[in-house]
Amino acid sequence: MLRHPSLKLIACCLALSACVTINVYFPAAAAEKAADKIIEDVWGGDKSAEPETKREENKQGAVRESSGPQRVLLAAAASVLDFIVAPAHAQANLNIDTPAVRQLTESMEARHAQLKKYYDAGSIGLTRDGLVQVRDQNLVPLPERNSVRKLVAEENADRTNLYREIAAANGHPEWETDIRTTFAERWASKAAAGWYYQDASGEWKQK
Amino acid sequence: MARLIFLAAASLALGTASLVNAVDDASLSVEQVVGDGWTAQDIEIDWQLPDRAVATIGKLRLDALSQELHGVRIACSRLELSTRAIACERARIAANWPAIGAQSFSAQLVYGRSDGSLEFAADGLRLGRGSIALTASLRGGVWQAKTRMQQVPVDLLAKLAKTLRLPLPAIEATGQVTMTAEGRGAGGDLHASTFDVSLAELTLNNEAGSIASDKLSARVQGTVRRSGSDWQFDVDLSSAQGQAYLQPIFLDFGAHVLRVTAAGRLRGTRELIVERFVLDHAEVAQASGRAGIDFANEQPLRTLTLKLASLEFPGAYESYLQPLLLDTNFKSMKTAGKLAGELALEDGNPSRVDLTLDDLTLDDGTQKFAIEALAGAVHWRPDSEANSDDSSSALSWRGGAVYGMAMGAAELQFSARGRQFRLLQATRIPLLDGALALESFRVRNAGLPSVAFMVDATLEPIDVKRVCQAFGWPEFGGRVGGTLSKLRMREGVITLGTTLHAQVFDGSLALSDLQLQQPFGQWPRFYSNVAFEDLDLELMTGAFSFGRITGKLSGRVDGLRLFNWAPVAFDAKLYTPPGDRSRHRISQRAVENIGSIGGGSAGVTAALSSGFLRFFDDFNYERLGLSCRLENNVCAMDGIAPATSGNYYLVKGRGLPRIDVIGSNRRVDWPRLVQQLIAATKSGGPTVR
Repeated sequence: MLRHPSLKLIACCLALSACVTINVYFPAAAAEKAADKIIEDVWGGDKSAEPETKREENKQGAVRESSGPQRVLLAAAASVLDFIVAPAHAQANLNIDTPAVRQLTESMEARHAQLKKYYDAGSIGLTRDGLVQVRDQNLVPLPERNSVRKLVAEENADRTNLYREIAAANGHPEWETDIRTTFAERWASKAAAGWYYQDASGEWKQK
Repeated sequence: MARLIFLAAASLALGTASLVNAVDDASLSVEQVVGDGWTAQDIEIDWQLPDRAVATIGKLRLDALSQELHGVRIACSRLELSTRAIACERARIAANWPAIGAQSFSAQLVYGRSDGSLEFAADGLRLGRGSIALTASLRGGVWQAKTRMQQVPVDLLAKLAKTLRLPLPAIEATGQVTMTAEGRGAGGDLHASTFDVSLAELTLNNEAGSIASDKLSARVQGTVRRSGSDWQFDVDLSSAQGQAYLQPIFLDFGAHVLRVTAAGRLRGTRELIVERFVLDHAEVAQASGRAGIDFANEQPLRTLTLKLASLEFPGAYESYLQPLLLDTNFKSMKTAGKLAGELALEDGNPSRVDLTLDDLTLDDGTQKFAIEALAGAVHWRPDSEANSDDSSSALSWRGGAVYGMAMGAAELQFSARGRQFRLLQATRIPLLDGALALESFRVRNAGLPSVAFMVDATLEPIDVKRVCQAFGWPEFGGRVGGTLSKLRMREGVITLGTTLHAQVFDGSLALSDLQLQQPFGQWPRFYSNVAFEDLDLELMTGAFSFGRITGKLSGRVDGLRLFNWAPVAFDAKLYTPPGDRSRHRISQRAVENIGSIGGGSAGVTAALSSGFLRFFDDFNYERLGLSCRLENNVCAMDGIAPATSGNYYLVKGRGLPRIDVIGSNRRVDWPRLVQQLIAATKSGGPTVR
């Protein structure tokens, strides 16, 4: 049985390399942080803390590639291969400092001035898929109903683009759904008192 | 046939005042009386001879009202008793009708003894603050009624209608109704009615908020008549006050008075045939026609002939079009002008559209899309008539803008068949200082997500500087033009099959693999590969006031990706073309500016301003160049050749005095770099003393 140890080793290696699947876990914590940052910009968070965070994000952006492997799962041989292949695939942080994300954020921030009173009134709410929806049209004066529907359509177009751009900017277009889910959860948890959001089953809840 | 049935023993008691006097008081108890269409139970009649009587009815049931009245008390001061009838001319009636509460009113009652008929007239019925007068007669199961209501609260009326089991949608409403109505019917069925209803301050909404009104005043006059299972109607509705919302349409009648008349038939509960209708919506629309609606069909509007006498803008856009365009990029346009025409629908499908446009102006307010004084005629036919090519369409306009680029007057001749549009004649659309000469233009699957168009055109050279202005880019000179063939749009993505050539700075520039996603969306995405050759640096640096450089520049920008027309990613390489024999000189200021790109700004300035270099205005160079790969706002920078300690050459000098510009920074923050470049081209640059 030990006559061909080298062959065996090769076979073993082949087998290993054949079944290696590299899954990069969605960086949930980083996504939450990114979402919170954007939500603060859009809804107007603590302004005084902003410039500092921004600078830090920039710095992180610049040194990101050397920050090393994190959250890499190897389906088969874990640690050894991890060392070899991880650096090319790993991603520890979500980059949201791109012109596209900035433009979308600014656009949503400008629109929020118009949307806020409808959140406050409960006529619109935050959906479980990270969008906005008209919840109770009867709370909107008749002449404003179509403009609310228009604002909601525009907001949703921006939000959909935002999730897509963040995924694309981080080289993982397939993360779009995860990013959307993360945002949905963060929008809801950062919503002001009195605002409505959908829980996981789609039921409207008031903060 | 009248029936009078005593179900139980009736007891008659004669009271006597004294043994000598005649009978002057009588009381009668009847357990139940059943007439045609009505039932009375627990009847007590107290009769004070000769003609005063008070009757109390414990429960009175009228089939037409589908409800029981309790504690009915009829006080009759003059009771007539004859073989023909029992009548009371001036009665006071008190009754408790659950739907409208306790009532006390004057009435006239006649009961036909022979035929069981009932005639009734009442005045002074109260419903909230409103009053109701009613006359009704019931004979042989057939009833006739006339009512006059004044200022009756709608909410109470709705409650009443509910108890009468009238089919009313679940709607909350307040307001007042003043009306006169006449009707006749049998049992619980209405056979015909004439009505004149005035609604005031009507505010209503359904649960979803998709139907609502606010302080609406309206008048509805008309007749309805039953024939077999059909209802014939003739209605006239007008409103000049208040607002209504029928999702997605919002109508402000105070701003635009509305009057609609319609006549037709409702067949069963499924089919509505509007034999004629006239719509007059002041400053919005004047239209007339006929229509067939099948409520059970997925597309309920089955047939329509609509003659649009006039559709006036902006009223028509704000009232009818904008709400339907909320999901498109035409949702916030400024409009003016008029259009008229005819359209028809057969079997649920459009069969004909003929429109005449009269100086229609559309402007999205951002100059992304604007068209001024659009005029002409559009004739659309479905596919099946594709061979009858008798009606081509023509549209012309006076001016406009596309993507911020001014567009001149032009005319399009085209055919519109089914989902296909085709340009019939080559045309020229002035664009900035050049033009787009359209040779062919075809649209397929219009109105479907798979909409596709194909264009063959020539872009007659336009000033690059003005294109740059339109897109908010740094302005540089030159002209762009070329053949646009195989320009297609599919699934919302525009691609260009050919390479677009531009002549800029005495060199050539080629844009290939051009792709534009969401072209009319809020966030267009642009992709392309760009190559340029032999650009004259002297013209280029002059245009950007970057500091004079002479010589040629070639290079390419691969994978250029713009988001909303701002660069997001690219891989650029710019360099002095090999074998370039032109004169290579670079000024002090250009050296400094290039140095600042490579991160050696301070050193360069220091070197230039000290020593003997400051006596020279410019220097010879052998070659220059740089590469920048932009990703995530970081530009990975390199030069034309490696220098010592990991640095790189941006400019390799030649001869004496020799100057080399060496870059050290390999990762440059892109926004900062752009700011630096803008500052460099705007300011006079640092002065060298």
